[in-house]
Amino acid sequence: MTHFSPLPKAAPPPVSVPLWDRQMAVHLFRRMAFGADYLTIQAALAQDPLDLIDDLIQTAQDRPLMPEPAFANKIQSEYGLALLESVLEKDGWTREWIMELQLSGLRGRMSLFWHNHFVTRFDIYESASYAYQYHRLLETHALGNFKTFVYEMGLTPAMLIFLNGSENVAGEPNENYAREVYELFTLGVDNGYTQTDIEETARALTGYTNIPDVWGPIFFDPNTHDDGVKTIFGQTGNWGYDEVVDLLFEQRPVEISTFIARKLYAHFVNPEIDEAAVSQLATVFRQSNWEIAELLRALFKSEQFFDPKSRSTQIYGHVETKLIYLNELGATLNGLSVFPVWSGSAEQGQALFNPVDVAGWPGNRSWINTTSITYRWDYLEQQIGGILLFTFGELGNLARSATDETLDVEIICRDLVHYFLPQGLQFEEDYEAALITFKGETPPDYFTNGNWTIDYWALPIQVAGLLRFLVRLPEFQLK
Amino acid sequence: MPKYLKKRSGTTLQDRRAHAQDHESWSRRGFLRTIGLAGASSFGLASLPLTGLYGFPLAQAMSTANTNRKLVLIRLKGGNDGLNTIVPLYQYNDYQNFRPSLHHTPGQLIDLNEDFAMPTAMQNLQPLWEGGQMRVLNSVGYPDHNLSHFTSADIMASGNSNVAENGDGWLARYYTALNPDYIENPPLTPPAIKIGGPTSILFNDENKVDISANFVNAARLEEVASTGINFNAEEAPDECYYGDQVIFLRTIANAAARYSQAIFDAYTEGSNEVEYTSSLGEQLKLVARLIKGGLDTQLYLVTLDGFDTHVGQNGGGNHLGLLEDLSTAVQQFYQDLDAGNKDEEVLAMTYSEFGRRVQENSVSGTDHGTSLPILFFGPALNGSDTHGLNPDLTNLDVAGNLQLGTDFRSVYATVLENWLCIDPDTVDQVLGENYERLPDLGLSCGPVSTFQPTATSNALITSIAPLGGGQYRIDFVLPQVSMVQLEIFTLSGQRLMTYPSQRFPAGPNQVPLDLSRLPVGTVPLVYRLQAGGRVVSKQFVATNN
Repeated sequence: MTHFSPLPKAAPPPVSVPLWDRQMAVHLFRRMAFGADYLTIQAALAQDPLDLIDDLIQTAQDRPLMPEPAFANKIQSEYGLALLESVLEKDGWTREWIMELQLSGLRGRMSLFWHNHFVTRFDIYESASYAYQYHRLLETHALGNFKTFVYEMGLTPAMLIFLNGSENVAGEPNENYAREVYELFTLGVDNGYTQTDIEETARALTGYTNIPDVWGPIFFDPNTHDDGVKTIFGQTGNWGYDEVVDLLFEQRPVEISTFIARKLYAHFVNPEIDEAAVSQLATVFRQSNWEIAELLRALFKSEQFFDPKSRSTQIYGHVETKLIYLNELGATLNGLSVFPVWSGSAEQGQALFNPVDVAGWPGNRSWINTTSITYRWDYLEQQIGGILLFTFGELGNLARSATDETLDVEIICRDLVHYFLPQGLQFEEDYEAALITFKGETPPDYFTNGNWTIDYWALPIQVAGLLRFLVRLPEFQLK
Repeated sequence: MPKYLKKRSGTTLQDRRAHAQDHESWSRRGFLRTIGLAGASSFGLASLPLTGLYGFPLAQAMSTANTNRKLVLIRLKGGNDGLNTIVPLYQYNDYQNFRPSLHHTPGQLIDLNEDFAMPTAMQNLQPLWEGGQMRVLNSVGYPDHNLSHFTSADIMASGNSNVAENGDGWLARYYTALNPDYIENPPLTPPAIKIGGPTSILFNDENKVDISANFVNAARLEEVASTGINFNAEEAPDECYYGDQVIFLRTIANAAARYSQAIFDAYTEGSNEVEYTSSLGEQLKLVARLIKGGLDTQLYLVTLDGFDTHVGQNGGGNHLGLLEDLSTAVQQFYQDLDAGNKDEEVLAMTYSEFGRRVQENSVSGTDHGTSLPILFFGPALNGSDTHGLNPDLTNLDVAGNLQLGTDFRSVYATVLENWLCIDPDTVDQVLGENYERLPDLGLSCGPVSTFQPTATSNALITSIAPLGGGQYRIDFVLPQVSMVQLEIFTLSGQRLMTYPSQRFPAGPNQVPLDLSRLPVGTVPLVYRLQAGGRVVSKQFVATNN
C-alpha cells in the first residue's frame, strides 16, 4: 500500500483532500497533541485540515518556554541535604512539566518524544539544575533545528555526565557518548559508522571536564582535550566537538534523515513502517536543512497519516495515555490531580527524567502487561467519578456534540463510541453492550415515551456509564 | 547495543534514603489512600468512615465456618410497587379505593397470612412460603425518601443518604473491610459478580473502582463462563496493524482478567438441574451454576428492569409479568440450589430504589413513592413470616406516600451481622452508624439448624422424647393440614438425615426417630421440623449406649 504522492520541495499538501470527519479530527489531535476536548474537535472540523496542521505547528513554535525555576543553576553546595532536596525539586518540576504537557500541544508532544530520544537519567547525574537545563533544551528545540539540537545536547551537563563526556580525556578516551550519538541519536545501530569512527570521535570530543562546582556548569578544558589528528567518516583533521557535528551532518545526511524520519513516522503515524513514505520524509528533512517543523509538516499532511487505517494503531506511554483521556473528557490537571499521573506512571515504569536506559522506553507493546493494563483500567475508571462531580455538564455536552440533532439513543451511543474509539467496535454484541450501559439507570420506557431527550438531566451519568464500559475494552488503549 | 550504565559511586547511602522515602510516600497503596487517584479526598468522598477500616483486625471477626455463605441481591429496577406486590388485607377497602383500576381482586390474591396476600402472578413463590423459606419485611425505606431513580438507587447501593457522599457501595465496603489488601493481593475469585452492566455503584470501592466482575447481561457472563475468555483474541478486526494491536491487547486483557479462570472452573464443575423459564432466571441460572460449581464469590447482584410503571401498570406496564418473572426465577433458583445441596448457603433478597405512590395516577399507573416491602428467600430464614410496620393507608405523608417503618440500613446491618457474620463494630463502621438489628428475620451465624424462631400464635409446638435403644419420638401440633419435613443435624450444621416430606393432619402428631445406627455415646444434635411455612429447630442430646 504505497500510495504516497511524491513530495515536491517544501512541505506540500497531499494531492487528494483527506477524509476529514470527527473521528479523523480526534485522531489528529491524539497525534499532534495530547488529545482535545469536543469543543476543539468541533472547531477543527470547520477548518481545512491542512491549515489546521500549519496552525498547530505554528502554535507549538510560538509557545513560550516554561518559566525558569529557582533551582535552574543551583549547585550542590547551595543545598542542605543535597540529594534529597534535589530529588524533590526534580519531582516538582516533573509534575509541572506534566501539567504543561497536557496543554502544550505539539510542543509538549515533541519535548516528550525527544526526552525519549536524547535520553539522560536523573538517577545518574542527580542534579535538579542539570535536569532543568536538559529539559529546557527539549522544549527549545522541540520543533527547532535538529543539527543545532544535537550540537547543544552533547554539551548539556546532564548528557556530559550521563554518557561520561565529563570523564572523556586525552589519552584515556571514553567512547560512551561517541557511540550513542551515532547509534541512538542520529544514525541508528551499525548504520554508517565503524568502531574506528567511534574511537576517533571520542578523541575529538575530549576536554569537557572542567567542573568548578559540583552540579555547576561544565567547561571545556584544553588540557584534557586531545588535539591530535583524527579520521572520522574518512575525513582527516584536527577535529574537535564542533567539527564532529559538522562532519556528521555533512557526511551522513541520508542516514540521519532516514533514521529520524522513520522514528517519527513510527511514533506519529503507524508503527508499521511505510519505507517509501519515510524516504520521502527524509528528503524533506534534508531539504529543509534539518528543520524538525518541516519534517513534521510533511508527516502530518501525508496520505499515510490521514489513512483511516492509521487511526488507533498506537499504544502510548502511561503519561501520554492519561493526558489524552483527560483532555478528551475536558478535565485539566491541577497541583493535586497531577500526582497520580506522575507517581502512578512512574510506578508502572514511566518515570520522567529516568527512562529505563539510554535507548529510552521501548514503547508500544512494551507498555502493556497484565499489571499495567489493570493499573490503567483503574486509573481510567477512577477519573470518571471525579469528572462527573466537577464537570458534570461537560459529559452531557460531549454527548450532544456527538449527534446531528438525532434523538435516537442508539445512534448517539454509537457516535460516542466512535469518538473514543475511532476504529469502532468489532462485534455487534459490543455495540449492544455499549447501548445497555449507556441507557444505564434511566428507566427503559423513557427512551420510547419521549421522556428521554438529548437534554435529559441524567445524560452525563449515562455517558459516565458508557465510559466505564469503554475504558475496560482492550481497544481503548489504542490511540 | 546500548549499555546499562553503572551507577556512579558517591552519595549512595543518601541516595538510597531519598529514593526510599520517595517510594514509600508514593507507593501504589499510599497514593490510592492519600490522594485517591485524582483525589477522592478532594472530592469529598473520603468522609465515609473508610480510611478507619484499613488495618482493622477484621478477618478473624468472620467465622471461617460462614465463608461459604452467599448473598444474592435481586434488584427490582425502576421502583417496585410494593402495595401491589404484598397487599394489605386489613385495609383492603382503602387499597381498592386508592387503586380503582389497579387493585388485585380477592380472586387474584393468595393469602400469606391473615394480614397480607400476594397476587396470583407470584404463585410460584408459594412453595418457598410454605417451606419456611420466604420472609417479607414491610415498609422499608429511609427518612425523606429521594424520589429520583438515580439518586435513590445510589443511596440504596451505598447505604449513605447524603447524596454528595455516595461514592461507594455498602457491599464493597464490606468486602474491603475484610480484605484491606485486595489491591496489592487481588483475589483469584471475583469478590462479587454483577449482572446488568457497570452502572450500579453497589460494588464500587472508595476509589470508584468496581471490585466486581461485571457483565452487561447473562449472555455475556455465560460466554466468559463457558470459555474462560473475556475478549475474542482469535478474530482480528482487520488485517492491518490495528488488528494486530487489538489481538495483542485482548490477549493481555484476558490474562489480566484473572477472574475468568475461576468463573470458568466453577461453571464447568457446576450444572443446572432445573429448567429456568424466565428472564431473571437466565441470570439466576448462572449464579446457581457457579455456586454449585464451588465458586467462592459471596456477593451477587442480578437485575430485573422495568418496574417504573407510570403508565398502564397492569397492562403494557407489565407489573404482573415482572412479578411472575421474579417469582418463577426465585423458585427455580432455590429448587436448583437444593438439588445441589447448596440452598442453605444462599440468602436472596430483593431491593428497589423506592416504592410507588399509594394513589394510582390518571393513566392507570403509579408514580414514584417511598417505602416498600423487601422480600427474602432461602432456608437460611428458618421460617416464613411477614415483619415490620404494617403499611397504613389511612396515615399517609403529605405527598400521599406510605410512612417509613424500617430503615434499609437496618436490613443491611442484619444481613452483615447475622448472615455474613462480621462483628457488630465492623458492621457499624461499614454502615457509618449503629442501625437497629432485626432478629426476627431468622438469620443466624450459628448452624442454620439451631436457630429457634420466636413463638407466634400459629407456631409449631414440638418436643422430643427418648424411648431407649436409640429410638426417639417427636411430637408436634399442627394448626392446619401441612406438608412436614424433618431433618437431623449435627451442631456444626451437617445434615445427618432427612425424612421425606409427608402430609399430616391438623392437631397432635408423632414421628418416630431411629438413631440406633449412630455411634455409641452421647451426641448433641439438632432436629429441624418444617411445616406450613413454619420451622422449628431444637437441640437435643442423643444417647446410644
